[in-house]
Amino acid sequence: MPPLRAVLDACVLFPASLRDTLLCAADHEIYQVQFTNEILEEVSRNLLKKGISECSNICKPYL
Amino acid sequence: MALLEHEPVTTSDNERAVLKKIDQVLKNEKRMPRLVGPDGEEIELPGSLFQVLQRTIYHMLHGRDISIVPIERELTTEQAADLLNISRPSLVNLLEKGEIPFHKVGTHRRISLADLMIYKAQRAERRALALAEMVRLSEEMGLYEEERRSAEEFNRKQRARDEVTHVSEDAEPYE
Repeated sequence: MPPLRAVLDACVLFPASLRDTLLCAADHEIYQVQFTNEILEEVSRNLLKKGISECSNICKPYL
Repeated sequence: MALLEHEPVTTSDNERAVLKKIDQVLKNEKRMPRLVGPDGEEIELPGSLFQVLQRTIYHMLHGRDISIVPIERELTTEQAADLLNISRPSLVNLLEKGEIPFHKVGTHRRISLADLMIYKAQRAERRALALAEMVRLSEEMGLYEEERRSAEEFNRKQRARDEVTHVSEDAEPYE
C-alpha cells in the first residue's frame, strides 16, 4: 500500500495545538508529512511576528 | 531481483487452529523448537529462522497474506527511497549532500542496507527530539492554553450570534 501523504500548509502549522498533534501523528507514521521550504518560511515569518522565534525551526527535521 | 514476483500466501480458515498451536509453541521461549525431518532427524531452529516464523505466524493469525521479499544488502536508489518513504529524487538529494554514504557500480549508485538503517534511525531520533522540544516550548509559552481560550471565546461569540439570529427569526412573523 502506498504511504498516505498529506501536505501541511502554514495555516495548520501555525497554531501550536494543531501543529503538534499533526506532527505527532506523522511521527507515529500514521501518514507521511510533506511541506515545502516556502510553507516553512511562511510559518517562521508568522511565528516571528508573534515573537516566538524558538519554534521557527521545528519542522526542519521533517523536510 | 524482481521483488514483486513473489506471490502472496493466503491463510485458509481451517488452518487457524494449527497456526494457533504453532504460535503457542513459538511463544515458549525456554526451549528452541525443533524441525523433524521425514527420516526423523531433529534440527534445532536457528535464531534467525525462529524470528521469521514468529513474525510470519503473527501476521497469519491477524488474517494477513504473506509474501517474502528478500532485502538485498546493497540497495538501488529506488529501493532505498521506498524504505525511507521518500521519493527517489529526495533520496538522491540526500546522497549528494553526503547524508548517506553510497558507492557506484558502473554508473549506478548503490547504498548499503546497514548505512540506510543507520540514517533511518538517526532521522527518527532527530524528529522525535525536535518534536519533544516543540511540545515543551508550546507548553512553556502557554500556547495550547492561549489557543483553547481563544477557541472558547470564538464559540461563545458564535453562540451569542446564533441566539440573536434565532430571536430575529422568531420575531419576523410579528412584523
